[in-house]
This record gives sequence, C-alpha cells and structure tokens, in this order.
Amino acid sequence: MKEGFRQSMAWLHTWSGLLLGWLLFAIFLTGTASYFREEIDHWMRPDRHALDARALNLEKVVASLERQAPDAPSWTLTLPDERRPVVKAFWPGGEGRRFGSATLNPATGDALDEDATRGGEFFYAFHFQLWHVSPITGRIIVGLATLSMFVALITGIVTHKKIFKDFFTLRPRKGQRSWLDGHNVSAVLSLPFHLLITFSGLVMLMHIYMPWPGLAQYGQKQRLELYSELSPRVQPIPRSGQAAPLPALEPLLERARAHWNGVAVGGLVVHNPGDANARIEVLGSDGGHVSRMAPRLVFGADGQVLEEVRSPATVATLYHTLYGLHMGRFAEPLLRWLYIVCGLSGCFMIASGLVLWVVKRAAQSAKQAKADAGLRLVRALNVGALAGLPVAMAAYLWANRLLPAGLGERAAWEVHVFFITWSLALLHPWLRPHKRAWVEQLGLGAALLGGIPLLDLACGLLSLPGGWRYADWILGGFDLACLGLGVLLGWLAWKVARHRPPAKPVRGERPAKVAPTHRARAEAAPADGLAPAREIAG
Amino acid sequence: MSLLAFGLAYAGFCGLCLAMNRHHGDVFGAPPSPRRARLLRLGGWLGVAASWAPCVAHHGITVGSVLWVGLLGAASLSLVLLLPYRPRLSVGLALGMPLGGALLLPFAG
Repeated sequence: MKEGFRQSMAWLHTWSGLLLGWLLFAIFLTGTASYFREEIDHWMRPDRHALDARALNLEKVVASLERQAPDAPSWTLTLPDERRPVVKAFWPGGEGRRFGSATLNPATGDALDEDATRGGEFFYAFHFQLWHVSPITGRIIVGLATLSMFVALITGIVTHKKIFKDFFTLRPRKGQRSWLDGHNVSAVLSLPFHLLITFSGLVMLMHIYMPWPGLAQYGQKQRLELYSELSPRVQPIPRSGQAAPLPALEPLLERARAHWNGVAVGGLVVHNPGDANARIEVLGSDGGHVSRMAPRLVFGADGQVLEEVRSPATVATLYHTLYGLHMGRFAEPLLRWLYIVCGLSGCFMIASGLVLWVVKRAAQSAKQAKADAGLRLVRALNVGALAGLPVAMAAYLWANRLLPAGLGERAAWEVHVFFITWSLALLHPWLRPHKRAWVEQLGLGAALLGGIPLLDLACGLLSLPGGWRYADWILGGFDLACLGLGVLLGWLAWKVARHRPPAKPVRGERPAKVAPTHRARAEAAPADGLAPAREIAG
Repeated sequence: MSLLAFGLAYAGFCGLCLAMNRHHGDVFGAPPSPRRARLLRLGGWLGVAASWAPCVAHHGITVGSVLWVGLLGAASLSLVLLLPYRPRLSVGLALGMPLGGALLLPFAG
C-alpha cells in the first residue's frame, strides 16, 4: 500500500510538473529577474542615468505637481532611493478626470519620459499576468501553473525517498543519476524558498482564485470594505474650500524619521493639497521590515502629528508578511542576491525536471525502438522554453539599445522583439538535431548576454562605478551580471557540445568505476540510467 | 558579519555532511568512527544554529531570520557544488570561513 501511494504521487509529480513546466519556468525566470526590476528599469532608461537620488528637492516636486494636477484629491509620491533616482507620482481621478501619473526629476521636478520603454516592468508583469491576454485571464493561467507547482513540490517531497540521506549528494558525470541529484539538490536546499514563493504567489492573488469566502463574508457590495480592512487607509476628509499653503515637507519627513528611530521615509501622500484640510501621510520605506505594510504617520496642514496608522488585524498582517516575503522589497543587496540564487535554483529545478522526463522517456523509447511523438514534442519545447527564454530576454535588452529612437511605439516594439525571438526559438528545435539545437540556442544566449557590456561600450553608455555607493554600481553591476550569465550559458553550451554519449557496452565495465563504499548500492538500482542517460546531448 | 554567518552555516552543513558514512568516505577514504560521527553531527547542528545569531544581531529578528534562511540555502548549495569536485578544499573552507569571518568582525562595524 505504501509503495502504491508513493508511486501514485510519483505519477502526479511527473505530470503536474510536465504539463505546465515550461510556463512555470518562464514564470520563475522572469520572476527572478523581477527582483532586479528597478535595476533593469534604470539600465533601460539612459535618460535617467545622470540623476541623483540625493538631489531631492521637494519644493520643486510639489510645484511641478501643482502645475500638473492642481485639482487632484491627493498626490501619492514615492521618493527616490539608491535603486531608483526618480520621484514617482500618482493621483486618482474623479469627476470627469482620469487618474494620472508622472515620473519626476528629483532635483527639478520636471516630468521625465515614461513611455520610452516598458523597462523591468515587462518581466514583472509577465511573471504574474503574462502578456497579450487580459490581465485576469493571465492571472488565472498563472494561478493554475502555480497550483500545479505546489502540487509538484508536495508530491516531490513524498516521492523523494531519502531527503535527509541524500541531502548533500551530487554525483556528477553519471547521466540520469546526476540529473536526478541536481533536481533533488536544487529543490531540497532551497525548499523553504520554493514553498514560500509558490504558496504566497497563490495567497497574493487569492481574491481572484478564491473570491467566495470574501463574497460570503462581505457580499458583493462591501468588497471594498474587505480591501480597506486588509490595507487600512487614511479616511478622506472633505476639502474646506479654504486655500492654504502646504507646510514645508522636509521637516515633516525629518520628524517621521526621528519618530521611527531612523527608518527611512519611502514616500508620502498629500491629501487635499492646497486646502486648509490638507493631510500629509508619511510612509516608511520598504527596508527593515518584512511585511508589505510600511509604518505611517499622518500630519495636518499645520504640520502637527494627527495619528499614527496602526498595523491591521492579525490575518491581514499575515497576508502582508507573505506578500512582503514574496516581493522581497525589504532586501538589501546581499539578501537580494540570495533571493536571486534561490530563484535560479528554482529555475534549475524546473529545467532539470523537464530534462529528466526526456532522459527517462528516451531510455524507454530506445528499448522499443520506435519514434515517439511525445518525446519529440517535449524535446523541442525544452529547448525553446529553457534555452530560448534567456535568448528572448536578452533580445529584449538588445532591442532597447538598438531600436531607432524615432520609431513609433518603440516600447511596444521592444516587447514584440521579445516575443518574436521567443517564437523563433520555439520553432528552431524542430528544424535542427536535438543536440545542435541546444548548443545553438545556449550559445546565442551566451553571445547576447555576454555582449551586453560591449553593446553598452558601442552605445557610449558603458559606465564604470564612480564610487562605492550602491547607486554607483547599478549600471556597471548590470553589465557585469549579464557578462556572468553569458559565461554561464556559454559554459552550458560548451558542456553540451563536448558531450559524447558513452559507447554502448558500459554495463560491463561499470563495477570497476564504482567507489568501494556505499555508492555501489545506490548505483546498482537504477541500471536503466546508462547509455541513453546523457540525453541532453543524445 | 555576513561572512561569519555564512561561514558558520557552511561549517555546520559540512559537519552534518561528514557525519554521514558516504561523504566521510569520499573525503577521507573511510567512514567515521561512531564517536567522530556524533561529534561532527553535534558540531554541525551547533554551527547551523549559531549562524542565526550574527544575522539577527545585525539585521533584527524578522529580516535577520529571512536572511538566515537564505544564507542556509546558499551555504548548503555551495557545499554540495564544491564537494564532488574539490572535497579537500570544501572541508578546508569550513574551517577557514568562520575564522575569517570572526577576524573581520571588528572591521565590519
């Protein structure tokens, strides 16, 4: 009975992982890239490279907003920080006005071009709502993929017989065995991350996936109440009609900083600007706390503290903590890189699982000595999805630098380049031998990513770090990271190209190679992982 | 600070790893004696647990704990990737890194 349970779990693991595996890989990889969404965004907008977050002049920013949105009921400002040297402004619509937004030069308050590129937002949006489908449809598809990921993780834990015994086990150059080890290691060692990301991914969009508890409790009409209980807001108060200048903002930020024992200010909301009933809500930055809810302090028009917004109910705090953990916005550079490492190991887990399916299937198929349409399909999709996506992402970056400045809908064309490249990458493996297809796509990805610093050099945008602050390193660090990823892909291409499937009669000489200790037992069992096992090449 | 935490976590995992017959055999050519295995396991758990302290001391309990989990993943991953290729080096690092981290501590501020 036990064996039966484990086998059925193994079956579920295989198919829940396979069916949406390619989509999951895309979600995971673009999601991982999104941890550097501000940095990608900054790199893709050369007109902002010279800006300095420290040059913030709130008076000029406010003056600019008074020109752009004089009648807005409120302005929401996100202040510049070391990762993004611009002020983001947003104001809601109402009474025949549309909502508006602007990105401002922190020193002068001048509006900056927002539509030049989608920047890092593209990968971010793609990873939870895809593209070219309606956001709701995209989110539902992503939700299904996430759910199948969750199933695959849990059944994987059940199926993996020796989680602790094999905790540190990686046996290279042993074909299928190595792939399985790599799959297990990348899954187990980052398991807290994988479980967290998958579960919180579901929770973050729970109002789409499971609207019914909310509906039952609050009803259709009071749904807004649910949201305001989740994220308490400052209650709007009516305008007095009496004009009054805003108090100086800088001292208010200073007081908030002091009140929070040095926690930086991340943004502010000005309610009823220009009115005697103005309220200035100062928000703490994302750093220092995991929950997505930042501390908030509300000032009146006279500059006096009116209230401190308390944290919401326990359940809401849990929600925001999961949300915050998923987004990782609190993470300073080291932790951010750890998020990247965990994300990449998740990508490797998915990729190795998909390759393992091919390895196993090819072994069976070789025995039956007949063509296998399913195997061909999965092989082609593996190349196009696993190697093709990095190529498409790199092409998106190249398009940002190379598309002519005057091109109409330039931002849309960058996205078109991404999808055209990816489509070609999905077609290409059907036309080439399997191994060549891997080598060519990995090699192309390596060339494109590794060439990013050269591209910047050619465009005159290569920037060497001018100091030791984080902001000085964004552009140079981006180029370095691309170079590193290019080297990684190049190394993979080289490994695949150099790989020779072992000659057939390995079976006989095997025992001689086996180390005398406990390995023998482990290897005796999966004897089928022999010749066809080096499948990625075969 | 981070190097100390990473080093302790790495050393802890190395201890836990070497307490297993298979890995001890790979590095030293023979399985450990029961006493040695027990010591390695105890030291390993202590190292992993101790690596929590520098994280929390420097980053506070919430962010520090998240950082700790991330460091555990990175430390175990580095060990697993290094072990089959450079077994001696991977064990040497387990001794060197916590020491290096402790020595650098006065400069980390």
